[in-house]
Amino acid sequence: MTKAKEPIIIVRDVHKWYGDFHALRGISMEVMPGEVVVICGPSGSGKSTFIRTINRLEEHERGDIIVDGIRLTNDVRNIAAIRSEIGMVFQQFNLFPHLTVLQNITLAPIWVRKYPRREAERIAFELLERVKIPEQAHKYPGQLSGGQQQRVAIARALAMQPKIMLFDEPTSALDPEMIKEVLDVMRELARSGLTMLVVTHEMGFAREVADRIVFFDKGEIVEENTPEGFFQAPKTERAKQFLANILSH
Amino acid sequence: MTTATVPSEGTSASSVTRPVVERGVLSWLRKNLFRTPFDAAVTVILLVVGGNLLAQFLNWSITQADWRVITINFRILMQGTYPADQGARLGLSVALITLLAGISWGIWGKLYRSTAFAFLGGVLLFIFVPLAVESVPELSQDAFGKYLGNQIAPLLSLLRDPVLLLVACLLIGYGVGRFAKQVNRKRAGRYTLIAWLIAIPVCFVLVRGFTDAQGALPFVQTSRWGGLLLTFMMAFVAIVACFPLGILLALGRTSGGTHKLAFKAPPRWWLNPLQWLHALSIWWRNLGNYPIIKLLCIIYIEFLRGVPLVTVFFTANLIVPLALGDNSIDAVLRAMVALTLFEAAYIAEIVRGGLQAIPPGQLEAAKALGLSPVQATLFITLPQALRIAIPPLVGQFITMFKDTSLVAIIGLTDLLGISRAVLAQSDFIGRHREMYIFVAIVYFVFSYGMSYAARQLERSGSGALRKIG
Repeated sequence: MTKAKEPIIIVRDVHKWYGDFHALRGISMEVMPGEVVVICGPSGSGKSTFIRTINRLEEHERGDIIVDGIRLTNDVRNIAAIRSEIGMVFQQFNLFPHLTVLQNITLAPIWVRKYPRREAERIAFELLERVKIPEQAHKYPGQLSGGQQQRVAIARALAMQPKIMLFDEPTSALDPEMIKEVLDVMRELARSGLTMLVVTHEMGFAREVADRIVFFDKGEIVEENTPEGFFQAPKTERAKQFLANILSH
Repeated sequence: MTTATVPSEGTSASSVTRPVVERGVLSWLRKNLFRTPFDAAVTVILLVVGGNLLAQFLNWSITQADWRVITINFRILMQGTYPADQGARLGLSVALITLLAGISWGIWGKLYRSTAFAFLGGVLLFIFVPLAVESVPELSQDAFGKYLGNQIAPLLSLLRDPVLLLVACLLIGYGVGRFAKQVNRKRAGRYTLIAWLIAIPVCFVLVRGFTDAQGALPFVQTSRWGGLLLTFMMAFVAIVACFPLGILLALGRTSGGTHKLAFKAPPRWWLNPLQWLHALSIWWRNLGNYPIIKLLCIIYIEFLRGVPLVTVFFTANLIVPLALGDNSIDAVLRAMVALTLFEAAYIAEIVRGGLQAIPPGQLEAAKALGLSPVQATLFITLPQALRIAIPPLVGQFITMFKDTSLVAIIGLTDLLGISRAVLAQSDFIGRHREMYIFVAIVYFVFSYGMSYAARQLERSGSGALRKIG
């Protein structure tokens, strides 16, 4: 990374509580444009909560989050501006079951970006081509397999032409056979230079694609490392233990 | 989905024959009614009791009942004191609505063979029974013949033309709907919905007329609306008006995520008055955290669900004119408003139930795409919630249709009110049973029609929620 580039995401000392439970305990990190960061850690460690604070699906209660130069506050205009810059892919796909694949993808470009319908549909077909399911455009999500649904969800997020993509355990709800087709799409995205934050348990994917690995435990960043460093010589005892558990089975 | 993999023991599997399933009436009877001695006993007892009741009813209905109370008062039961020379306006409205119902049926529903036979049977009944009675005079010698000739035939011939007209409208509409569906299903559906939205006010104006019109559509005061006409107008206006109001109330009640303080109850906190005070103060502060609109919606819904409909009607009828100091607002309108406001609270709770059934991920996905809260509601959560809520909504609409009969208490002459007025005349004293049976049948026919239509809507794709995965 050259010095001329500014970080696209700056997170400083972010805290969040659920009732009395201290879910995020002072998270600080920076992400450069084009960087692919994989976030891993045991369940309940706050990693999903953390990436959901970046597009404010969760509110942080202390600290600063600055995305693309915009500080996240309660100001509704700021939130809307940031959300249209950030695409998100969920564990449960969260496609809209009452709309066709094409409508799922074109809804936000038409109503948020104010694209003409024809233009939005052109983009949608391009993206469906990119995720390799152009023939499913007029089906409903319920008629697709899990892997196809998740690829539609990726296309839907990309249709807003975001600068940043957040992936919240995108393959955790998939049958093993379908994980590969989703990871292939994500690999291709990573190569295209999109900034990506990925919460995942797919360590093979992390090792191959990530520029950096961030290890969460109990609401804190325990270790930040390169993929090689993290998998071959983890610096912390907790990370060693986690890797031993996750790689042994 | 699955590829055609041949199981290794495929040849032996295909040689296994499926066990023969018994079919036919006898086997059905054995399986469902006489499976065990207990089943058999229950069946026999119910048959004896039911058969006896039915026989008594038929005997009464043929030898003692005098159904002419309905035939003679038929017009007044259907339209009250609506001017007879303006009756064509009602006919036109009904024809319009039936035609639209037929078109909707053609687009979204399906004509089942059983329904078609029921229609055919009904039409034949209406045509041939009066004909047979007229053409075979010697038929009317015994009790049953007299019953047919004096009681049933006049009613059927009275109903014949309207029924034939309605069935014709329905079937023509069905044909048009099927055709439109073949041409362009999506556009046909959209235009039909728009046609409904236009037809309802058009019918209202058609029935009511213009205040200052001299020629075409003279004004008919609502006090002259009566019978089934009034029942329909009340139900129609209230259903159409309470639906959007109910949705708004539901959205208001589900709006706003606020931080709630949790009351951490120590063991046996209720024994300690100080803890009571603490709980109360937290409740009060949580109340203060509600946005004002949400609070108002909750108060409205809970208050109206907590009072009987009759009291709301009495309030509209007695207290509102008293409070306003004059009696200028028309009584029918006041009753319509009262019914609308009351039912909106129930609709709101049904819609809220639908909204709660939508997984939170749907709203999150909408937010993450940058949709505004209004857009997310309009495009994502509300359409799905309404689809889920179709069965309870239709149930509530049927309840509403029947609830209109309560306006008889505040002196309006809906179907029930006018039948009581008829029964009060000296000519028809003691004909309560005939009249109320007739009224019950009318309510049943339309309630069942609504519920049948709703079931068809659910069965067709347009009502079904397409589930993920």
